[in-house]
Amino acid sequence: MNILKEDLNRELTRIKEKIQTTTLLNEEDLKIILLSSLDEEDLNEAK
Amino acid sequence: MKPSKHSNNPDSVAPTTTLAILQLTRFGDLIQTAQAVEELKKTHPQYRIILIARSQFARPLGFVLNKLFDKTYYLDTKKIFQESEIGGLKTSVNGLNQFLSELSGESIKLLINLSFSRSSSYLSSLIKADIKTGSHYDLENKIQINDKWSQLLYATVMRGSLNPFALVDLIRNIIGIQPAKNKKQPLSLILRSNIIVIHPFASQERKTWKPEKWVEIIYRTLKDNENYTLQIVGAKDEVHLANKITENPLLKSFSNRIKNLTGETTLAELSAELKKAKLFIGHDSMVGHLAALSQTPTLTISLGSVRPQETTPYQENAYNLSPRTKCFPCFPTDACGYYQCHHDIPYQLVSTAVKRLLNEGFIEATWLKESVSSFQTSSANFYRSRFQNGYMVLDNLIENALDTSDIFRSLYKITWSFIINDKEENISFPKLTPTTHRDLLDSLTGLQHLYELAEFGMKYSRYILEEVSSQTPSIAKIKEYSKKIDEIDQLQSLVLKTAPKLAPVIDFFAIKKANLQGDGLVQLTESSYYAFHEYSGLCSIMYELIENTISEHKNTNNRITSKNDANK
Repeated sequence: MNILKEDLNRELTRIKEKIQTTTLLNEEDLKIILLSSLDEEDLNEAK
Repeated sequence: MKPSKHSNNPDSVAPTTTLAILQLTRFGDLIQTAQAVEELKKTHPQYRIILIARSQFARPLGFVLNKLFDKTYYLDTKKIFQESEIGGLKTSVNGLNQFLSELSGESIKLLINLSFSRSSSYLSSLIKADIKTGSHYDLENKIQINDKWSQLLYATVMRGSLNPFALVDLIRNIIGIQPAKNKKQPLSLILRSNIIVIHPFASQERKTWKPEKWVEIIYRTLKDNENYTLQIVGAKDEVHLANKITENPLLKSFSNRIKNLTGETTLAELSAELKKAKLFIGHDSMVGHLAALSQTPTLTISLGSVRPQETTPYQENAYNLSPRTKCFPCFPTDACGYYQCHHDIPYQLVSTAVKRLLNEGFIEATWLKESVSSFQTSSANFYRSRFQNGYMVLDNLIENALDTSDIFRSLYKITWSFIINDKEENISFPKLTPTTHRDLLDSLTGLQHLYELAEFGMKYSRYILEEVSSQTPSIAKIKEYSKKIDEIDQLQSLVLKTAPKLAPVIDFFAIKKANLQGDGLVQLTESSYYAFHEYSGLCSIMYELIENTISEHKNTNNRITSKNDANK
């Protein structure tokens, strides 16, 4: 697994925990989710 | 304020307000967005219109987009993720920040997210703008869709076959573009060459005929139209399919009249080829939309999950052939091994229509009835587009009874135009068959239940408000009333089982309810009350329309019976 995937997985787990505890997200969190979505879309695009 | 690029023209108005369109989806959607924006640009020169799009789709369409948008911001994921495999997330966050910082130089009055993908909704959240329409996420990670046309698009597009609007019209409504007063004059084709452009491919197997079927059509087309040559176009990854067509022995004698351009043209070059041609034939793909942009007549064959009402090329007299197969249109994820819909449009119907279009430039319902065997037309719909009250509509040229979905689409068109734009659509009463009559009656019962549920929701929202404003509000009571409101969702799904054509009503309300405005219990409950109020109004309008349709059907039947009795 490349470093980006590792970083994304770790950050997404942290954000999920925030959502579960109804803690408000911040802009940095939104950026992480956006990057993860774009990465996923790129992957589907390449298929 | 930035200087207007039209400042040398004394008649032009310097743009003062910046409007940003966010469209992250593919070529076809970008072209349809461009078609919607074309009119805005003409009627509202005071807007500076910028586009935010994905680099891989927007750059090849620069020849279209650069004429319409004052600036395009390219979201280049290759650049963003460059080196991130080694540098990790930090590198890509830097790349994203750089893109956002470029955008922050814009003073955006209105940001319109047209793409409804997860990524575009998050990107919309991160772009600074005074007003936002379309979907975006809030800091609680809840999706927000606050304008009604976007709510409708989200509730109905990709959710079945009951959306009555062309995608371009939905986009126009989301942006708020008024219907054009002057109709675009049809272009004369006299100066064009005797060329037919064919794009016999689509993004999915379920939307595409096998090469063998296209061979039959090409063979018949070239045999029937001796003065014409044919160009096959497509992308690089479609070359092997194009070769299967051109190398078929049946087409050997026509090889000097077939030019295979698949994989050899840029989109700008393809557009130039379409501008020379007298006809475009193909499945649902962006090439059809490019053809419509250059006012080239189109004949589209819609199969699989394609919904002709949404994506038929947006122009007057666009022709569309689609199957009358029961499961058409399906969903992209539905399992299907046989593709019955592929067999329900006979190739003879296509080649007969092509010949007529090349010779006369027009196909009428009477000609179809008189000249084409009913064996060919019995399992297909043959639509022709026209514009009515600024919306594109598809008329079925084959005289057959409308099915329940056709009738519901008309009713929904009237309802949504009235509810959202306060506009009355003048659509004549459809002819009913015993089946559609029964389906409408079932829906009346369903609507009655939905209306009662909406009233129920209003009642319990009011109880909560009364309880909150009482001197000693009881938490237990408020919880009990909220529980009652939650039960409505379950009861709605029961109604849906018996009246599936009411799905858009239920889905639209679900989106509305998920986007209640306000902070705190009182504001949210007030907002909930108004949502239920609108829901009950929506049910009443649909009920009345269906009731009137059934009455008209009964009156017509009575008139026919009386006439027959008088003739006896």
